[in-house]
Amino acid sequence: MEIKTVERGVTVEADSREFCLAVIDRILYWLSPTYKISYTSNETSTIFEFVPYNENDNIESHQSIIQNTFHDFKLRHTINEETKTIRELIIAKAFYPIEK
Amino acid sequence: MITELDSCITSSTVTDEKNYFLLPFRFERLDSTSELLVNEIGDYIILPAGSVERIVNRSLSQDEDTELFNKLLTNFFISENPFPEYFRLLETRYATKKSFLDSFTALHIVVITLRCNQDCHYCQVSKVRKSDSVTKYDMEVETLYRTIDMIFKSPNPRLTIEFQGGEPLLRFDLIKEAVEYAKGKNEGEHRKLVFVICTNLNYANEEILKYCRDNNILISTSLDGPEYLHNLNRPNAVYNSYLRTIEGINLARSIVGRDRVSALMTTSKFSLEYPEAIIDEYVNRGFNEIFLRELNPYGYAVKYEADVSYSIDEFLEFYKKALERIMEYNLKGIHISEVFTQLLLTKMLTPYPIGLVDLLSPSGIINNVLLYNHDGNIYPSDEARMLAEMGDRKFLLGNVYEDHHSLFKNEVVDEITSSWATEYVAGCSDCALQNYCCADPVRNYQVQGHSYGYRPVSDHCHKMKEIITYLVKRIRDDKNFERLVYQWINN
Repeated sequence: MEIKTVERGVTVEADSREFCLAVIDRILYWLSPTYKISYTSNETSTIFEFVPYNENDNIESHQSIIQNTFHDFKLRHTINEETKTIRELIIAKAFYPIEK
Repeated sequence: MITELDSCITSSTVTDEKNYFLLPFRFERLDSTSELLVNEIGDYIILPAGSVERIVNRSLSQDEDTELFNKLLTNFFISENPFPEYFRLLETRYATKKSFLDSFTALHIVVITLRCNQDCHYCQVSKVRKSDSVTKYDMEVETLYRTIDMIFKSPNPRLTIEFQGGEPLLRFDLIKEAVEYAKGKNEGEHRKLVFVICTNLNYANEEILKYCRDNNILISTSLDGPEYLHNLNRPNAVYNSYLRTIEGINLARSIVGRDRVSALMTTSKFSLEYPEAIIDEYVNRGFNEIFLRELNPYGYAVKYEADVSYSIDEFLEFYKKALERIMEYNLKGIHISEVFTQLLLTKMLTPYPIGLVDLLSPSGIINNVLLYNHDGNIYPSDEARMLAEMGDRKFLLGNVYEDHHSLFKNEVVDEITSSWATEYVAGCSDCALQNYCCADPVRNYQVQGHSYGYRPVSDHCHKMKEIITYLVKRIRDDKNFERLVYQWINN
């Protein structure tokens, strides 16, 4: 992932192998009230541009927020994928205890 | 179109050897130096920033990071086996947290009349005047019987019937009728019956209160703070509303019993300036708990929004100041707790479920509460009838003259259930605070125009995140606070 500040906002080039649609969905869900978001895409990556609606904000702080959001949702996705089966088992067994 | 891959290439995809396995957990950045991790059963730990990445990327070593490794292992964040040997414990803990779902609706709110003698600026139920039509705004006796019959259709072995208004004591005759009828029905069923009257106590007298005492009826009243504030919030053109309430509380305590009379406050715009004075008033009046309730966006609170309403950040500031005052009292040995905080902490720090319908997922509406309006209409919550009194019957489930099953098999219930659990709604499903929070389709609809809601701009989401992370940080940073909250939850 490559993140840069540009004149009006922040750009992020995200490798599609690292950031699949499930991750991007969640990132855009949370960032869209704060930023006008546009993107261009090729076979291997997508470049997002985030322009804050509040023009008076410090762009540096936005870079940190956006970077953290990408980073955290990627980690969350990994955790969810790795633990999906055990989570489903906990819930299923909790509501349908076979021994009872 | 964004380049689409079915799944991301995750660290686990590229890591062949695992020295441990992840268990389900969620995380948030608590501040610049720490991360909050919450596991599937609601236990939390705080770790230095960057820890989650190390955990997920398998850069932890049992030999070099022994303390952290063991902490994660013993708190159910990682496992040494793909299927942990203590799986049964996780399953039981999860089932215990969700056991509020076991018996279906317990709390049944009955609106005896919409008429009221007071003129509260923020009245969220859009009350009508005491002198307004009895036939239009009071429950008919036949409707009352049908209401009790409907309540007994709930399979719950413990039924709480809460009489609300308007001012329900304007029709104490109907309350008596309901209590006698319910007790009669219960003779063959042997359920645990609890009765509550939510009243301003202005019409309480010895006869009424002796009946309450003899029938184990709990009294819940409203006390918004000291005299100047209470009278500002809850005025009456004829008499001093505060003095009437205090007289009522004293009389009720002397007859019904001190521990059977509780009070609630509602935070108006006027209240925001007096967090300390409100706590002082409750302590001076001998209450050992207070519920700092924010104003909900219904009824006159919307109609007169400019006069009584405020931002969620203003409420949070008020809440924190009030909590500080409560802390001060407790440190002096005077016990007083804040009910919302106490229940939230019970969710965060114990394996036990709580009963507050506002803090459950799946939502407490329908599962734990139903409301029977004076006209026999049934709503999934008090807030849903507040909306109906504003002219929007979006969440009308049915009527007491209809079949019980039809209440729960309709499009209204389908819509509610598609958005009533933090486990699956967008914005909540990834949130670390999911275990402690709740989804509120009725509020979403009222504030945002759709019951599903949009968390990034939700006041409710903002409030819950702020309060929960505030409590987590206070417990971490302040040993006195930590000691106090464990006293609260152990009581």
